[in-house]
Amino acid sequence: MTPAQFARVKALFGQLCDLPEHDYLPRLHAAGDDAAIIAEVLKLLRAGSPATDRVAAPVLTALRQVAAGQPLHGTVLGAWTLEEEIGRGGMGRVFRARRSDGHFVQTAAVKLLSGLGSRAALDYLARERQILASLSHPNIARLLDGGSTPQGQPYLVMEYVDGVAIDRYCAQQRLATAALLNLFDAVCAAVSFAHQQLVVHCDLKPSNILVTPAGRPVLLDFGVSSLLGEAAAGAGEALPALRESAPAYTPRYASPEQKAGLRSGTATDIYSLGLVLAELLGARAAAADCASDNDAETLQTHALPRDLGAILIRATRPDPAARYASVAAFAADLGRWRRGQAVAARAATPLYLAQKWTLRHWPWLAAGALFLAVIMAFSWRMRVERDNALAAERAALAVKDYMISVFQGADPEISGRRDLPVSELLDAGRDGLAARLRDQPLVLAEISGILGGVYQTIGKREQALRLFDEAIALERGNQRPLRLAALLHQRAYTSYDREDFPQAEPIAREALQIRERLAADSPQLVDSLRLLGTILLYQQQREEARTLLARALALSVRISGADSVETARVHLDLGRFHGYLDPIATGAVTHARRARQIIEQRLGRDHPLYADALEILVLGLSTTQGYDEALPLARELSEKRLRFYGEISYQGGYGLYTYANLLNDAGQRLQAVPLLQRCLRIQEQLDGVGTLSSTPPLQLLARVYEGLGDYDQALAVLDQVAAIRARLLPEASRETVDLDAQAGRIRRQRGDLLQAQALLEQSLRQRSADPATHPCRLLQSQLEMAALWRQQRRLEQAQTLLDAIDPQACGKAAWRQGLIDAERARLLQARGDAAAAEALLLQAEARYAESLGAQHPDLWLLRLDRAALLAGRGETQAAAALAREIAEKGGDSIAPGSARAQRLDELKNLAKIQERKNPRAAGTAPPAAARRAVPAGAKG
Amino acid sequence: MQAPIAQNAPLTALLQSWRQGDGASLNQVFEQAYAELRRIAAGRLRQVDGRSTLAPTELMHEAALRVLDAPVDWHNRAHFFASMSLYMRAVLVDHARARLADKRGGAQLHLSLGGVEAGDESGIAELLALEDALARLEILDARSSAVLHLTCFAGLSRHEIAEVLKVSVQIVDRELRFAKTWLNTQLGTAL
Repeated sequence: MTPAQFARVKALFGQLCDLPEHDYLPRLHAAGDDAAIIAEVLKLLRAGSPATDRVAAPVLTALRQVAAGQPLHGTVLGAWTLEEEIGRGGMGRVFRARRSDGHFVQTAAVKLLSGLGSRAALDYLARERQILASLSHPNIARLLDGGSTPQGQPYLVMEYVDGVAIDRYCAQQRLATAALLNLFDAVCAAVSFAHQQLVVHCDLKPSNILVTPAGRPVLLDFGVSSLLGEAAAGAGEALPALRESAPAYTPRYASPEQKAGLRSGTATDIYSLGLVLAELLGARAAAADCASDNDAETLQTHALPRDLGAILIRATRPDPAARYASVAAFAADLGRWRRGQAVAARAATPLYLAQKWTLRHWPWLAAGALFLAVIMAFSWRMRVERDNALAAERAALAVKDYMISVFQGADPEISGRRDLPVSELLDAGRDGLAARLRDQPLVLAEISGILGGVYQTIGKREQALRLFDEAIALERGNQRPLRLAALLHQRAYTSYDREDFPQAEPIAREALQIRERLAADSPQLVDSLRLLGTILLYQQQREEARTLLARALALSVRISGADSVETARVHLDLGRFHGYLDPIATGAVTHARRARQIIEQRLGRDHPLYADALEILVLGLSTTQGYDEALPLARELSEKRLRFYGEISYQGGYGLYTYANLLNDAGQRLQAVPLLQRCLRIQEQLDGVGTLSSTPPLQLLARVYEGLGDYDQALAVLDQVAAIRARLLPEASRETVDLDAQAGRIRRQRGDLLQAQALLEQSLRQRSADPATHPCRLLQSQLEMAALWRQQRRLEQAQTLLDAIDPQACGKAAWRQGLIDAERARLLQARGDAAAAEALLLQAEARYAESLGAQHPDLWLLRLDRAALLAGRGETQAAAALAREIAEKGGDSIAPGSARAQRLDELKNLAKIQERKNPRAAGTAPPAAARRAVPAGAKG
Repeated sequence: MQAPIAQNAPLTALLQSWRQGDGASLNQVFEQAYAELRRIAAGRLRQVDGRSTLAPTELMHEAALRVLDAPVDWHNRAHFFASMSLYMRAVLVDHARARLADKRGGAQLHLSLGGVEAGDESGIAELLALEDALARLEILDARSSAVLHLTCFAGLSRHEIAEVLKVSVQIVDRELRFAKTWLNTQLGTAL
């Protein structure tokens, strides 16, 4: 269309646009223009004229974009005049600024935060600025001032630091490791100081750590990152600029929890510091050489001294709770390394909830439960839940004041003890709690609950119980049923953790009832179902436990999905349920496999939960004698636990225990001994010598020695257990009965028949009288008693007892039947019926082979009886051949030098002795025939 | 029909002549005013949760107030704003093109708090479509294009536009009505 044609269109449009529509066509035809022009005019007439605002809208949008990103030098903000731009980052732009109010000359860095916040966010920033401004430390750039522009854009004024980034500084100065660590120590001290003021950095990186020409490191931007995150979260809205609820971070130095969008705390700073140090030490490609922020990047610590590498690895563990408990602890370990002392890099994190020797793990409560994180979670929750902003602010201030009073005067660096500073501080601070917060029952209830959680986390369960009780009593008056339910749940968990199941049960029930009523279909209800189900499981209330856990599973599948981690956790509970209650726990295997599959997909194999799934799987497999599959898994479990939590950790020790337990079950007992000794050393380092927590590995060690035939050692270990229990837990319980039974069994095998009699009779009596006795334990006692009477030649009594045994009482596992067969066979032999005895022994062997496998060492040990029988019948060659094979195949369960080893040697040598005495008689039993007897026996 | 010279003289030429004449004293403050403009825009536009009611005029008015020592008379103000709006249009369009190139350029990581706003892309596209339409309209009908430009980019009132273009208010109304309608057919979307 030419401009002339266009002008014609425009003219016609002008003439017609105010006329009614039915006039358009007649008028256009009357004008006599060509069809193209008429069509164009009609198009325009029908298009209509849009509102001016709408036409201009794209301009406004574009203006907004441009406005957000233009330079600003020369601007005056309060007392500050912006000069050149000196930096630009995720959070905004940084200008060097000059104080321009004429009073005095001062240079500062002004950080202009990109975008603008709402009123609530700005108020929050203003409040928190006060806290940051009070952070006064020579190695932290002071926050001098702050505010918002007349247009509402927030800015922070910080001390201007004339320095270079620490990585450049180290490169320029070619710092040796010792000097570098000195410098880094000052950095750690500053971070630690801030942490004690409850300020975390959350964006530590070399460019935030400047070193002045005088060599003083200064940290920039302390608290700014989390401040912004909190501002957005606290304002409870998606702000145009502060819309991320998580703090800003730099991917290259960010911790996994930051990247996952979870709340970050002091552990986040420890992680970033670890990465920075790794970079400075050359254990990580420098930022400049690194093309991308590679998540999967691992530290190259092999070039470093081993302990130093271990320190870096510990600081940068993916699980926050597995890192150092504090920056001070990190720095202290570096200090130890510099002084040539042993480092604690592989030591336990005492703050991590550790369920030591029972099969109970609740990682969902334990994860990331660092002390400060708990406190921060508190103020965060208060903000989220607030109905009344003022009350919440008052509460948050009260908490902060209280916590600061708790921390005052504390220097965890001075004390080398692992967890005492925190708990001592808590003890000191707790007493003033009620007095300080008398007029704020809501806050008092909150803090009591939180502190209870902290005590629970650091293993001080008595204090935890008391605080929970106080919090519950207060909360009952507060009309917040769900909060009450949460406290009851925690309270029940603590009782459960103390294994006080009868006390835990009604409390867990109350929590469950509240949640059923008010929080149906919530993850909290799943938690309650799981907790009560598990408590009941340990109370042997099988049916209700099963119902609750099944409900938990169904609910979790519905609200979180069948493939969710939450559901995997319920599978683990169900696996534990079957593993604990079923003699043959195929259910445990099924649930554990499912959990493992989900966890592997969702969290990977390096997640602690994966190890938990392995644990249940190993437990289940061991009850079904799936040793071939279970042994490598148990080894993996043990290695993973040691790697996650360090050598000196409850979890590491417990992993070793599990592995040793399985090796014992699999008859590979010689291998189990060093593992258990290592496990005991760990336990003693953690809790001291002679504590209750060392009794489970000691008891297992006694069983291992017993299985090896080393009765002296077994008794010595058992005596240790008895002494510990007599000192710490003198009341009689099922466990003391078990101990007596075990001691009686060992003494019987050792030949101390009188002592054995007292112990075995007593334990049989007690087990028979206790209706809750596990049927397998009762069977074991009965068999032991029969064996003792047989040894005492009270054969009729033994026979009566054996005849009365219900062979199916303890499940149908073939090897248990074999156990009964074997004892019957021994009695037959004692009565002189060798032929029937041999037949029964062969049957017992066959049953062992059926359920344990033909290569299980215990099967070969069982054959000792038949070798003795053969020898007694004068078939010395066959006996000796069998003995040789037993020594070879059962070697994993024969302690060198033990009575059992000696007996085997005798049997092996029997033929030679007889040969010497009577060469012809020995020749009557050809060796080949004797060897054939063995596989025939194995097949049975 | 003999059109007056002004009708088809491009807006730039008009403003150029104004600035060489009575607008000359203001010329030096354009840079400053523009910086001010951006700052005000930053504040105002974001303050109201992304839904701006602020017109470019107000922006430019405020900017002018901050950089001009003395009040400007109505006649100068309109010209001043018109000049500034050309500036603004060029910058905005450049910016939009750069943003578009950025986006096509690929993997920019936006993790930080500031970042890119949702709806940016459609905003950019709309602005470039508007620019494109205005440029085409200028070839076909310079005055109509100028009216639309001054409405969108300078936020001038019909009286001010009439002053700058040296035409009557009625003509401005007519041109604007036509230009908006035409734009509606060009952008192919119901505005």
